Amino acid sequence: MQEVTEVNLNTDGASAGGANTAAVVKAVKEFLATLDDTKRDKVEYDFSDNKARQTWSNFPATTVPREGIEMSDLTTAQQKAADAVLQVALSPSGAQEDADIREADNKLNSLGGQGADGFGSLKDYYFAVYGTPSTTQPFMVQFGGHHLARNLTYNGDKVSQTPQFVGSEPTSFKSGGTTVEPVKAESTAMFGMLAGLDATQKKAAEITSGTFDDLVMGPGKDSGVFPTSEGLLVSELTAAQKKLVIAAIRTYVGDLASTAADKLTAKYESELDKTRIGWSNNAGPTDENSYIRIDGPSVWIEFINTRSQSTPDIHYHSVYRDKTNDYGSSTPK
Amino acid sequence: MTVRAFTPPLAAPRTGRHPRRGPLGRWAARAGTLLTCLAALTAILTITAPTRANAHPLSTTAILLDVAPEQVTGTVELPIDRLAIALDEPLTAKTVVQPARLEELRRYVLSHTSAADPDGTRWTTTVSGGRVENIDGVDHLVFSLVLRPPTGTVHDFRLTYDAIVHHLLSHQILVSLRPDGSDGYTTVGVLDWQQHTISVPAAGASTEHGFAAAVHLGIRHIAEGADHLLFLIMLLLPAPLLARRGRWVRADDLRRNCLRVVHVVTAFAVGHSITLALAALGYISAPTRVVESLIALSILVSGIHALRPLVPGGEAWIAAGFGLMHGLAFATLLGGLDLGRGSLVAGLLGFNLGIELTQLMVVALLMPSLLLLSRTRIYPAARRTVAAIGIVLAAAWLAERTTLLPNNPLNHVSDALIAHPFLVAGALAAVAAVGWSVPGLRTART
Repeated sequence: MQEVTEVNLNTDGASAGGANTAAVVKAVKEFLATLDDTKRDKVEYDFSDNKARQTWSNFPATTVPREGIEMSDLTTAQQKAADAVLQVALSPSGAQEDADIREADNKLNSLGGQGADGFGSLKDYYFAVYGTPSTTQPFMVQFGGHHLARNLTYNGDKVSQTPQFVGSEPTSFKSGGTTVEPVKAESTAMFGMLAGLDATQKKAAEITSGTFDDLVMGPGKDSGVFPTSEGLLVSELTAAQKKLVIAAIRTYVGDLASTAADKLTAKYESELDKTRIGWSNNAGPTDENSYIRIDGPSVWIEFINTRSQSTPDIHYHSVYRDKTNDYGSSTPK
Repeated sequence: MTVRAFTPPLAAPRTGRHPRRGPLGRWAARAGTLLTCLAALTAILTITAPTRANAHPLSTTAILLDVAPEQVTGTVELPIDRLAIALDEPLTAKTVVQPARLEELRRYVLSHTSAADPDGTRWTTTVSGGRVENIDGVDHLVFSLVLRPPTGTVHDFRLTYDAIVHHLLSHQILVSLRPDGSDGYTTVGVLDWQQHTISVPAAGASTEHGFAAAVHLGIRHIAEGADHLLFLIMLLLPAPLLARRGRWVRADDLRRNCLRVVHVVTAFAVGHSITLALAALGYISAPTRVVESLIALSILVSGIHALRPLVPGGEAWIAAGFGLMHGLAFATLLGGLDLGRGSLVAGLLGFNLGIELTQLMVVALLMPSLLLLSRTRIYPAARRTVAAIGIVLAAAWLAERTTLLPNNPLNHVSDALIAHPFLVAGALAAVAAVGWSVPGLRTART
């Protein structure tokens, strides 16, 4: 099992604001009110518990034990109240993505195979609250399990939704007659952005410092130190190509409730000319180890087709970080 | 994978019905049962404990270090497909062991490995061997590693290693350590694209930390688990008494009273150890709600038993039976402990030790007062009051845990009680002392 090493989260960054904090506070309080003292004790942490706040992963909890209460330990009513928090905090597409990723875990679990035991949409998904829900004081809602991490920190009207991890194994599957593709929006937009480049641009965007088989700023990489920027400057792109970059960023930022997501996208857009896009290994949407990166003054997005343990296909890992505002560090107490 | 041989516990051959046993015989029989249970438990742990403690997440390199007084030996396990990406060569399990290629790879690993004192003094580093081993379904190239300090005495050092990760930037290297005399590896850290150097504590402080953490968790669980404490108290209440025609009567035999306490505590320990081990090893599991409800029921039943004997002299059996339930509850908690596969046994033992220590502390705190009280005229009333409190609290828990009640209004009562354990024990001691010192309340010795 891996252990998380605590890192100081105070990086004094900035948030674009626009958070629906009051609605989230209400939903969190309603969720907490459904719990008895024993369960509340499992859910609630001090806001300053940095080590616990940094405990998220793309491994099942059997490999990296999570903080908070497991969803399967909650009654149906309590689960609903927990889901309601996420529905308020996230956009409809963000909440849907969570549901789809959790279903993918059920699917993966049903496929069996190595490393596929002991998780599912309720088992291995954990909910934790850091600090007291308040419209004026900082608090954080943490939800996630295998292939999903939501770290939502509120402080007044400011919000941080990073680190945010989404992944899916398998990438596509049938459920009740319909095809579910939890991370399709991100995959389509990222590969679309790459496909929009001409041959010269694509060559210039290639990352040459090394190669990748997974994320470099994934779980446990909270030092605030990011790799030296590489790739093609977005300022050298056409207006249409820039739109593809914004669209790709939007598939991550847009998981958050709309007003805050709009403000944050506007911020990243204003930094667009200083942002680089890069790729490594392969550029095909189904090729193994295709790796794509968006690297701006604030925004950091990585997407990789990493290999699968349980199926012959690749599966997705993707992380979104805000270099200046991970874990809501913009307003430290 | 090797499976350690084990000798099944010896069972005495059954030779028909025994004549009625004397007290010594009964005691011997119980001790025999106990030993058999413990032996069976040990056997289960021995055969199921994974002998390979170094399973690691897919695609990572593992460095396993063994500390000896004069040198650190170990192995480096490199996933061959990742090695191929890093070197941009089409390596396979077959090609890596071709002598020329193997020599080249050995030099490659050596040039990416070094060890030094904290002040920078270099150790000598040797990389040798080179065989292919299938670990968790993936072919790894395994080299032997020897790190020798210039002084000839192993102490804390810094390990620097960046094979594969110098080019495959997303690669991770798990460094694990087995201190001298220990039988399990503990992860000391992860090397990645940012960090190529790690401090290695030669003493392996983390293994002891793991065990100590488990003990601590066991202590905390009992000390903070109002339900487990209450259950124990309910069972201890009638310990100084004898069941006679469906009623509790006084028993002044101090030796016998103490023995009954030992029986209760041991029976509970045996019961929960069995289910805890089975659940921790993944053989059994039960829904939390059911387990928690059964625990509430266990308090309720033992509370009633403290009022009027349900099973004469049956505390040990009640304790053992419900101990099985409590073990299931402990197991969920054990899951929260960071137990590597290799440290499962140590974790289980530590956790159990913590539970037993806390139980013994509870007994030590309460039993003298109870024994003293039992020789006063207030004991029947005191016993009934405590039993009644237990029954009410247990009933409230049961209602809540079976969802008859949405919220338990009595939770703050039990929380307050366990928040001040010494106050509770002190109050009981004061009542006992007063009862004993007021001559009219003291019962005559028989």
